[in-house]
Amino acid sequence: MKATLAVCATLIAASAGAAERRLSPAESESFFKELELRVSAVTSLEVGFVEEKHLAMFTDTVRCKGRMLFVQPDRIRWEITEPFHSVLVVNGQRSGKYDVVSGKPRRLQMGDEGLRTAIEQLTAWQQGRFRPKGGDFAVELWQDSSRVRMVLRPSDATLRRFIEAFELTVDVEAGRIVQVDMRESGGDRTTIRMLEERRGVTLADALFDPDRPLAP
Amino acid sequence: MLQRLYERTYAALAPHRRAVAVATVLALAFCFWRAARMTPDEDITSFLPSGDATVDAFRLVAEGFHEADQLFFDVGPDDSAVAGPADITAAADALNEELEASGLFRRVRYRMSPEQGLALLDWLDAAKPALFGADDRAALEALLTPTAVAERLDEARRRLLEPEGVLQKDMLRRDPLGLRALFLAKLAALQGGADVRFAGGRIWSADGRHVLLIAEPTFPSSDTLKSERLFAAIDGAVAAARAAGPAVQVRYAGGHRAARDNRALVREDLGLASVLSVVAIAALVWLGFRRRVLVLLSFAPVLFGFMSAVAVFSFFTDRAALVIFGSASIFAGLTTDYAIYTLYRFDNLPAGADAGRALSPLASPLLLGAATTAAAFASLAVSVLPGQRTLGVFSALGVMSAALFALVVLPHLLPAGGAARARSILPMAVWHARLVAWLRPRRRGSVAAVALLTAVAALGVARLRFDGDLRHLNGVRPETLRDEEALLAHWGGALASTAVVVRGHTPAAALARNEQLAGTLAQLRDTGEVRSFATVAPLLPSPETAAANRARWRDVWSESRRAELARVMATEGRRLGFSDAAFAPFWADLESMSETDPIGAATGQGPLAALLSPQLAVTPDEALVLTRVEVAPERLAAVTARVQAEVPGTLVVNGRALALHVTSLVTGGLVELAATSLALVTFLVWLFLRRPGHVLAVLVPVAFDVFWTLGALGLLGLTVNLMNSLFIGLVFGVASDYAIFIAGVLRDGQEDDVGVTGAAVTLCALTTLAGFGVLTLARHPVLFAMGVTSLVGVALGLVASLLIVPLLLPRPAPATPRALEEAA
Repeated sequence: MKATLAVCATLIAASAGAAERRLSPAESESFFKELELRVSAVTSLEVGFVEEKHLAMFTDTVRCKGRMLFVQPDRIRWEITEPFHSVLVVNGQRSGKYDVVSGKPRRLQMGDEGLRTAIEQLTAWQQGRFRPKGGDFAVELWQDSSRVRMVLRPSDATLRRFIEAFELTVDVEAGRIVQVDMRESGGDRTTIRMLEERRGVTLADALFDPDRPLAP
Repeated sequence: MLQRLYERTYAALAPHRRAVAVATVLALAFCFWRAARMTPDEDITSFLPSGDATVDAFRLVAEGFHEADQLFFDVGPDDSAVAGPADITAAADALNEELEASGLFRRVRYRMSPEQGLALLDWLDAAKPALFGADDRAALEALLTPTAVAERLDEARRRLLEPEGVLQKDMLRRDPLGLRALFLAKLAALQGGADVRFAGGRIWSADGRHVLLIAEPTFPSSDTLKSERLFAAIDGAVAAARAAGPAVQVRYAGGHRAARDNRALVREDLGLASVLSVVAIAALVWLGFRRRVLVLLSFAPVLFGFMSAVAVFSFFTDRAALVIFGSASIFAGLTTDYAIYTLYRFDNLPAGADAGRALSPLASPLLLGAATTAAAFASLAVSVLPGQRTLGVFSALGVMSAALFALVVLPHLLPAGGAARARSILPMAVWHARLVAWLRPRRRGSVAAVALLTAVAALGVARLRFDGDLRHLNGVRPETLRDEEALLAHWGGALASTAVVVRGHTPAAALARNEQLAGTLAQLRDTGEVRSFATVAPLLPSPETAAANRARWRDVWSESRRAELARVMATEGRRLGFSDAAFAPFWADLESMSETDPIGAATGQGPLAALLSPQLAVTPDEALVLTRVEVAPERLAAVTARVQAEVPGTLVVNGRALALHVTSLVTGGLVELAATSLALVTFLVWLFLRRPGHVLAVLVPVAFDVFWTLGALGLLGLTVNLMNSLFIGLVFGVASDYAIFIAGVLRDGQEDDVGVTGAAVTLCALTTLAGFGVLTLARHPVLFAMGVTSLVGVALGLVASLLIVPLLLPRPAPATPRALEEAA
C-alpha cells in the first residue's frame, strides 16, 4: 500500500514537474481511498505539535507547543504544554477540559459549541474520515513533489464566518498529516505542524480519563 | 281523558294508513337530509364546564399558546440502549427535516441553528443597555477592576490558542471581559428550574440521552381529514429518523394523537355496539313476540326519535357532539321500550278486538313514562358541563318524539292479520305472573331483600369516589399511553409545570404585569413556596424598565470609567501581545449605546421571537405572557392566592388543580342535577297520578334504585366521572317508567293485564340492558363508563320496581299462571 502511494506520487510528480498541480476527481478518489485506509489502520498515535497564530489581534506571531494522543476509535488527548499547560480529554461520549496551574488541574466548562465542533473535526480526521459527508465542505487536492495539500472550504455560511478553509498537508509516502492550516476570517491564519509522530504506541487508559487529566 | 283523546286520534288516522306511512317516510328523509349537514365534534374540552373562571383560564392558555395543539416528540435510545448522542442527534435532525418538509406544521421547535444562535447573541450584545438590571451593576463593576481585566485578557489569549480558538476569536474581540455572561444568565431564566439542558442548540433531557422536539400542526386536532395526512407524514418522519439513527426510538404524544385515538376507538366501539345492541334487541323482541315482523317495527320509534332530534339540532348547530353519537345505542335501548309497550299489547290482543280501544289504556302510562325519562334528561340542562347539557336536551327531544311516534303513528303501520305463532317463544307474561304470584305471599322476604340490597349498597356508597380528571376520559391506545408515560418520565418537570399567565391590552402593559409577577415569584422562591420559575421578564423588560436599564448602563459607563478601562486594557493587552485594535468591536459597542427595543424583537420574526413564542402570545387586542412555575401540589393554592392578590387578573393553570376543581363542580352539580331530576319527575308523576300512595309507589323504587346504583359503582371500584354522573339522573327517568307501568296496572288493570304489562316491562328492561350492556365492551372510557353505569342502574331499577311497587300497592291479585297460559 505504501508502495502504491509512493509510485502514484512519483508518477504524478514526474508528469507535472515540481509545481503544485490540482488532482483530477479520479486521482482524488484514489488518493482518499488509500489515505483513509492507512490512517484508519492506525490503532494509536502520539504526535507533538507546534501551533502558530498569525492574528491581527496580536502584534506578533504567537506560538504554543504540545502533544496529541489518539487511540481508535474515539479517544483523544490534546495537551498544550507551552506557554501554559492545558489538557483536553475526549473518551467516547465523555470529555473534560482543564487548565493546569502550578501542577493542579482546574476543570473548565465544556458547553462551548465551538469546542465541540473542533473535537468532532479532530476525531474525524484521526479516524481517517477526510471526505466530507453531505456536502459540508468543498474539497480540492493539490499535489507537489511529495505532498498533497487538501483544501476543505466550508459550505456552511456560519462556519465560513470564522474559517475560509482548512488545509491539511499530507506526506504521501508516510501517509500522515504533517501540517494543518486554518485560513481564518480577516486574513488571519493558524498553522499547526505535526512533529515526531509515533504510531502503534501503547498509551495508558489513564491518559484518557476525562475526570483525572493528570493521572500517572 | 287521555284515553278518550287517544281513541279519537286513532279513529281519525285509521282510515289513512297509507298516508301515515308516506308521511313517516318523508319525515325521515327530511331528518336524514338535515343530519347529513352535521359533522362530528370530538373535542374533549367540550366536556369541560363553561362559565367557570378556572376552566376559562385553562381554555385561554390552551388556545393562546396552542398548548392543546402541540405534538411532543422524544428522540432517545431504544431498549438496546446502545445509541449515543451522535445517533440521537442524527435521528432528531432527520425527524425535524421530514416534519418541516411535510408543510403540515406551523412551527417545529427543535434546534436553534448556529445562524440563529449567533443572531441571538448579536441581539443580546446590542440589547445590553436595555437589559441591564439593577442586580447586574455590582457584577459588572466586579469585571472592570484592573485585576479582573488582567485575568480576563490572559484567559482570552489562552482560549485563542486552544482548539476552539478559531471559532472564539470574534466573540473575544467583541467581549474580552466576559460581560456577555451577565446577559446570557437572562436566557437561562427562560429555562427556570426545568430539568433540561441545552447543547448544540437542542433541548436535552437531564440525563443527556433524549432530545425534545415540539411541533405545532397548522390545523386543530378536530380536523379529521388533515389529521390522516398528518399521521402519514409523522410515520414517514419517524421511519426516516430511525434510518438516520440506528437503535433510536421516537415517541410522541399530544392533542392530535389523542384525538385520533379517541376517534378510532369511538368508531370501533360504536360500530360494534350498534350492531350488537340491534341484534340483541331484535333477538329479545323476536323471542318475546308472536309476530316476527314486529321485530323490525320495534326499531321504528328509535329511528324516528333519534333522527328527529338530530334534525332539530341541525337548525342550531352544524357540529354533533361525541356524546350524541355515543348515546345512540343507549337511546335505542331506552326508546325501544315505547314500541315494545305498544307492540306487546297489540301482539297479545284477542282476535277481532278493537286495537284503538285496546291500546288506549297505554296512553297515560306511556306518556307519563316518556315524560319522566325526558324530564330526567331535561334536568341535565342545569348541568355545568356543556356535553351533558347537549345530551340532555337532545335525548329529551328524542325520547318524547319516539314515545309519541310509538303511541300515535306505529299502530297504523302494524300489519293486518293474525299472529304467526300461537304463543311467544319466551312466554314472559306467564313467567311474570308466576313471579308476582310467588312474591305476593312473601312480603317479608321482599322487605328483607330490599334491606339487604340497601345494606350492601351502603358499603359501596362509602367507597364511591368522584373523578374529575379529563385525562381519564381520554380513550387512547396502549402504545400512545406508553409514549405519553415515557415523555412524562423524561420531560415531566418541563411539561407538567403550572402555567401562570398575565394579560394586557398591549405587550407593554402585559410585560409590566409580568415584571410584577416575576418579583412576587422570586419572593416565593426565596421562601421555598415555589421551587423554580421560568420567566421572560429579565430578557423582555417593559418599556419603563428598559428605559431605566439604559439610564443605568449610561451611568455605569461614564466617560471617566471608559477612559480608565481603556488605559488598563491597553497596558495589560500589550503585556500579552495584543494589538491596539484587538478589541475595537468592544469599544464600538460601548460607544454606540444601542437603543435596541426588546419588544420589537420579541414580536417580530427574528430568533428572539422564535425563542420566546412559547411564552408570549400577542394578538391585535391582547398580549399574554406565560411563566412556567414549579410548585408543590400542596402549596399551589397558597401560591395562587398570593400571586392573584399581588398581581390581580393573573391566571394560574395547573392540570391537577383543574381536575380537582372540575371534581368539585361535578360533585356539587350532581346534587343539583339529582334534585332537579327528582323535582321534575315528582311533578310529572303527581300530575298524572294525583294520589299520594301511587306517587310514592313510583318514587320510592326510584330512590332505592339511585342508592343501589351508587353503591354498586362503589363496590365495583368504579368512579363517578364527568360522563357517567349524568346517568344517575337518567336512572330516575328509566326506573320510574317501570314503576309507573307496574303501579298503573296494579291500580286499575284487569287481571290479565298484570302479567302482560309486567312482561312488557321486563322485556323493555331487557332490551334497555342490551342497549347499555354492549357498551361495557367499549374500550373508550367515556362509553364504558356510560354503559356500566346505565346497565347497573336499569337492572337495579327493574329489581326495585318488581320488589317495592307491589309492597306499596298490594291490589289487585294477579291472574294465575294457569289462567294466563289458557288465555294465550
